[in-house]
Amino acid sequence: MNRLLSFCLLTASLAVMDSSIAQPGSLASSLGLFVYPSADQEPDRLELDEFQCYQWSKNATGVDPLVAQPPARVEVSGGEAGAAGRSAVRGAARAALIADVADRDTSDAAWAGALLGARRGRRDQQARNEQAERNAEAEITAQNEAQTENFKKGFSACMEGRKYTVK
Amino acid sequence: MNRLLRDSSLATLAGMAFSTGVWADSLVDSNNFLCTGWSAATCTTEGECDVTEAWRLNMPDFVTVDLEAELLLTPEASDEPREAEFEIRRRDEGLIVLQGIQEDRAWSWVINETSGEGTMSISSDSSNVTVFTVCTPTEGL
Repeated sequence: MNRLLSFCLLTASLAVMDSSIAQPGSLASSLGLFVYPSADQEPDRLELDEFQCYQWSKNATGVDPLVAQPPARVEVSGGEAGAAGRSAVRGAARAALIADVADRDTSDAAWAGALLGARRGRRDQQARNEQAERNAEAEITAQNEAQTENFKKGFSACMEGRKYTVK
Repeated sequence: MNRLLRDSSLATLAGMAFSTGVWADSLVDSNNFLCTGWSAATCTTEGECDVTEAWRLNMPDFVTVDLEAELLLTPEASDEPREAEFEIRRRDEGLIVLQGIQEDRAWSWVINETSGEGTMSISSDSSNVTVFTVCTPTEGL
């Protein structure tokens, strides 16, 4: 009976101890950080400190990592989007009149060069647009990561100032 | 066979246009006219130039010019509906000048208002197509 009581007490005390460490779903864990209360702060205190440090870092860095960043806005030059848009506005699906000139697949060998040239030009433009889109997305991703890292530094500094160990 | 027939028809049409002036008409006071390209030349950046029939370059057989809507359109009966908007329209000193951009092509078309004859130029970064055209007002058709 005594052994059972000891076990229950031990389990309960471990549960209390664990609850004072940042739990999954806490602000710190959502940032991928581990927070340990070095000065035996209570769970409620930890939660409050996390919230206040989150606000502090948000104000200090101008970044809120829990708010979704706006999607990458990529300007693609020329191309079919504009033409398709205009056709849609007019309510009729009409092919390009000018842009398709010299683009007919003909068996006339004399025109093969011009036809290939026109198609190659369009393919090159499409490749350039796709590359520009990828570059812009990569740049925005890198910017977002740098901003999040900056925010984490601010958050960690604040928490450490309040006697927490942050890793 | 179809192409041969079409070739012959166009040649006849072009011949008519030049021998009798049936197709090229005065466009004075007209805002809507039907045009066809009877001959075309294309040059590439490699310096090669060739002359051919316009349809071989995928030019529509007929194009309607609507000056009020600022549109080039293939006629209703066309196999493939196609269109192009123009961004510049100038009617001055007996000339109708149209210019536009579509995808990777910039184009200009200068039409003599009195004779209905004109030249369209279509440019990309690697080639240029020149189409010689004749137009007639649709009002009288």
